[in-house]
Amino acid sequence: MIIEEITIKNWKGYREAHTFQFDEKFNLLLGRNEAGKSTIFEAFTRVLFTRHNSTAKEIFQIQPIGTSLAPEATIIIQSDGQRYKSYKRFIKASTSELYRWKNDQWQRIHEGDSADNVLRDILKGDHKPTLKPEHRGLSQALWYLQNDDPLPESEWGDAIRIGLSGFISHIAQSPEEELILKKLDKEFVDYFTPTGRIKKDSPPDKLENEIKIIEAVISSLREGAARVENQRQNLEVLFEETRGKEIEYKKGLVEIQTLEDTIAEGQELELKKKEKDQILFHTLEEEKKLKSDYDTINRRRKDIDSAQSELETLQGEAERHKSDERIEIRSAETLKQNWKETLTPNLQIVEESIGFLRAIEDLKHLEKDKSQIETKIEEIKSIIEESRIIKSKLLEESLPDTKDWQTLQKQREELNTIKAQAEISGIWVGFDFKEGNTKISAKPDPDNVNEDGEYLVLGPTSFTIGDYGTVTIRGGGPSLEELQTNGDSLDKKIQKVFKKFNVENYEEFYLLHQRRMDLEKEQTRLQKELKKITIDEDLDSLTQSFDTIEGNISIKKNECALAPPDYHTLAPEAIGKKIKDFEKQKKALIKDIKNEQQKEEEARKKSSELLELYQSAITQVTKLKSKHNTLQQENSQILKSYGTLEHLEKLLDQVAVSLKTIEADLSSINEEYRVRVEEPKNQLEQAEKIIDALDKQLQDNYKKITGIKASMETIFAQNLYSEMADQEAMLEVKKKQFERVNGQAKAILLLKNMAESFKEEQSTALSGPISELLNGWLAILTDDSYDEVRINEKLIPIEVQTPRYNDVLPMECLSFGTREQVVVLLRLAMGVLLSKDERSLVVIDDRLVNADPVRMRRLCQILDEVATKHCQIIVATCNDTPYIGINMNKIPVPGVIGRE
Amino acid sequence: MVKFLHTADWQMGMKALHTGEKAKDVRFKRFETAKRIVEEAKAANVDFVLLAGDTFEDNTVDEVVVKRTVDILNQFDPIPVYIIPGNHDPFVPGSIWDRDIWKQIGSHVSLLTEAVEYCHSDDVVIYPCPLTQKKSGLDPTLWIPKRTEEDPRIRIGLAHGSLDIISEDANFPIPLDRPEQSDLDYLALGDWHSYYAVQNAVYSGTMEPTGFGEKNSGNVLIVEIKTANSVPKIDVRRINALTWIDISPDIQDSADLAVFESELKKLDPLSSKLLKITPILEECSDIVAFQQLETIRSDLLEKSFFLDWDDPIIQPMVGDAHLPEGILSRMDEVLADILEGKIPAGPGKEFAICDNTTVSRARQILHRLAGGRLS
Repeated sequence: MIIEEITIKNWKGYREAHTFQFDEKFNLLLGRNEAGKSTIFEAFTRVLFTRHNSTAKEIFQIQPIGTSLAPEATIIIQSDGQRYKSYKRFIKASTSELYRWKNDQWQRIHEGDSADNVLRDILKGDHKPTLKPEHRGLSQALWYLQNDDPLPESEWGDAIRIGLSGFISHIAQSPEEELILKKLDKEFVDYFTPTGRIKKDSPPDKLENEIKIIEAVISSLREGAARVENQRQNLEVLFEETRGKEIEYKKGLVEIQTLEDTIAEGQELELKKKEKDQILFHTLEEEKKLKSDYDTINRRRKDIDSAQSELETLQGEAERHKSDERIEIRSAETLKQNWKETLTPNLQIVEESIGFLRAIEDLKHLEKDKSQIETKIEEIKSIIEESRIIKSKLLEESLPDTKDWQTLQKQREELNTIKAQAEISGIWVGFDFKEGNTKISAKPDPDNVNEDGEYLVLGPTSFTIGDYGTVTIRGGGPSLEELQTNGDSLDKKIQKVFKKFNVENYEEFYLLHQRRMDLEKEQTRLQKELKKITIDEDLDSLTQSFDTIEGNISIKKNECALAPPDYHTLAPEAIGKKIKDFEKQKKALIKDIKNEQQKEEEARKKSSELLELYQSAITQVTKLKSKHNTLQQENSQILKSYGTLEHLEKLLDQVAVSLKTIEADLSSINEEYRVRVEEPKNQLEQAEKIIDALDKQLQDNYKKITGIKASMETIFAQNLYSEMADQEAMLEVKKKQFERVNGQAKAILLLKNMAESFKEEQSTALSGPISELLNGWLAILTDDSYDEVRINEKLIPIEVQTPRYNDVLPMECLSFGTREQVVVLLRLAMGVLLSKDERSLVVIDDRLVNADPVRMRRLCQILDEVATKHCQIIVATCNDTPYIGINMNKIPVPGVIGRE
Repeated sequence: MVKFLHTADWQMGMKALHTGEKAKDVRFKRFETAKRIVEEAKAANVDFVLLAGDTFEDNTVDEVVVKRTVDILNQFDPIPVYIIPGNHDPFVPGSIWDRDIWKQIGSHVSLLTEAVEYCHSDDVVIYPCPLTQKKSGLDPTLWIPKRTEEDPRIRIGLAHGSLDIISEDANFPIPLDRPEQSDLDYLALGDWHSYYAVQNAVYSGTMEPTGFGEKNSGNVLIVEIKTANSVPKIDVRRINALTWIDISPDIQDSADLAVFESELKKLDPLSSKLLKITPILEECSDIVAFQQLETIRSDLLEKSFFLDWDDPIIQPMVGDAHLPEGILSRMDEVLADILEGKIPAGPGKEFAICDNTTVSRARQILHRLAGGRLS
């Protein structure tokens, strides 16, 4: 199929109708970006493949923006030797009309849906609502549009394979075959998933599930049946066991009866045996008594002898203990005497000597201390006296202290200051009379008259000048008056102070002050000295200490009054040494005394123990004696019945003989008794035990049997058997159905797989011619860098051969541009093959932008060749320079402005 | 003289698995037939009834089955009924005979569980051979003593086992000449489901057939013995409610079909018929015949008690479809080669291992899809 022309109106940017006419060979759609080149191709696909009454949102996107206009397109094509014209309007008053050129005019042949269908079939497109490339039939391969993927995800659509297979004569595909294969696919889909697994809810799947459910039910029922059978087998075992036991039980009862009869027969023998037993018993009793007495007497005699011997031993021991005890006592006394009468007095002497010496030593120390204290006290007293004198002087004499002196000085300074100020501020009045000796008096008297006879007037002052009159001067002002006042006041104060201290002037005052200072200094010095002396003890304390020492001295004197006279004359070092010697002696003596005392204690302790032993021995002796007497008395008592011991022995012999006779008789009776009565009785006891045990076991078994039977009855009441029968019958039915259905499915799977295998073979066959074309072009395009493209059975290029390295590279390793170019060449190759009978349209929508100039030139050569010999090609681009060398039909695509 | 009814192999509670959804109904019919035996016995005024084993299908049948059977047996009253346990219901602990419900059986029914002589009357004695296990290679009739010289009584054996004329490893084998060996006037047997008599050893067969292919079943026997050592007179009475019929008609054309239809008509009433039909259609190419056959099948499905006719009649016929040149025709060749045992070349080779049934079906489907005629 090729396109002659297309007219579009109300289509995106094309408001007015625009017609584009195409050559049957190479056409270049030239326009800027956004000019509307791709829109033209979109119109191709919409007209050929989209239903006229489609309401998909993509259709509304082809309306011019902001309008509700109905997009229209008219396309004229050639296919199978016929010319067709299709007119379609979308969205509003949607229309589809198909015309065929016949008898020099267009004749409408289809409209509406049928027009849509026929158009699709021309390029073998699907009747699918979406416009994906795989639904566009042959144009999936031949039209490489802007939004298309370079290659399909898995394989090209059937239309392409079918289309391509047309030139392979031995694999001719027909619509009939396609139809049958589609039917097969449909049947396949009814049973299987795309991966060949049984589909969920398909007939085999449903049947299989039903069978599983029934089998599960049967299995569960069989478990119940197995339980019943198990119980039945247990029952059988129990029955066998019970039967055996019942037989044994019966036998046991018979045996008991027989034994009881035998025992009844032996009753007389039993009486006889009883009688003999009695006699034997009595005789034995008698013998026992005689023997007992005899033994008792003999035993006692032994005891008496033994007691006697023990007695003698004990007595000896007691004597020994007593003697030892006395020795120990004596030893203790000796020791006591030694430490008390010898050692202790010696110790006292030594201690006394030590006491004397210590007392003398202490006395000497005390006297020394006393002297020291005395001296100190004197000193303190002297200081105190001196201090008192000074104090009294300070009190008595009126002496100014530092404060007085400072105050005075301050006042003096103030006064001087005031005076100075007054002098400065004051008015000096001088009189100069012609007549001399004029008397001048002032009121108040001025403070100051200088050498020139000038009067210092500090305040209002009236001068009486002889008889002439008065001159009043009001000078100075308040401040002068104030100064004057202050000065007077101060002066008075100073005078008061002088008066106080009975001085006339500052010098005298100062001298008094100095005297005070000296006295105070002295006082301070005395206080310091006193403090130094009394740092440890004050006067009272020293006085007290003194008294104490005196007391102690007195005591010590008493203590050493009796000391040897030479002790008093000893030097302190000698005293110390002597004391040491005496201390040594004392220690030794104390140690000796202690040893002696300890020994004495041990001796006394030992003697106490010996005394205890003695007493204990005496007690035992007494007991033994008592025992001895008692034993003898008892023996005498027993022998009273027999006379002598020999008599008793004789009696004993007689009884022994009698006993032998009786035992002999009894032995024979017993033997008979054992056989006729005793053994049957034992057997009867055993038999009764066995019978009881059997009875119990039987009862248990009966209970178990009843239990098992009841359990089985319960299961039987659940109708397990018929339920299982019904389920098994149903299973049979389902299995038969499954076998049939599954067989059907297997056959369909076989057919499907076989068809796939053959299709694959076809695809593989198809790839040969494509590869041949593609490889030649690739070598040209890449200048032999790559000379072969490997295509798989799905006609997808997977790798390229690089002769330079004699290796293959996966397609992914090629650059993006080279991959694009390989894809374009592939589509061109398909286009060439599909154009065997008539030209096919190949569209390349601006997909060569990544080709460098050299490659572009070579590609153009290939395009030119293909367009000249095989296909109609339409290339959309915004740059026509690379295509200059091609014989082409250049179709400008006006932009929006151009269109307006 | 003595007159008695001989029956056996009631198989109460049998599963009848091969009757699918009708299994329950098949089981139920046996109770109806058993009731008719009661009527038959009373109508014939027999002295007693002999039930020669396998009264029940299994010792574990449901309680309700036992109860119903007990109720039916009680209806024989006052006619005595002598039953022996068979190999399906042997006398073992936990068997049906142990159940509480069995204890409700009337006193006229005697379960003979010991191999000892049983006197029915002064002149009739029965030698029961009860079975106490499911399988054995021992002869259960071995114990029957010979007649003593002065014994004028009619001696009847009652046993369950297999007359040793079929195989050496028969279950409970009974010698063919047991009646002769033990001086029995009649040996009432159970185990085989068809009526069979050889001299005085007689199988009554089951009173209701149990499957397709059983011949001569569905009977009870009314037996008369005049005196000791006389030949018994056996009257075979048909009693079954259901008939099991197995047909494989060879249909090549409409004429054959007409014959088949007339055969079916003879089977009326179909409501008591269990049919297993396997038509042979390989040679048939008559479309009309196929369609009629389909109609007959639908009709039978509706009218018969049970129909086992699963395979579809209309089957794709191979050879008549036009397969276009290309993949499909090649596939057809491959399938044909495989069916002939050849290993095809090319892509078809991998499918040579498929089983012939699948390959054959695949070929039929292919032809059907190709628009071939459906047979």
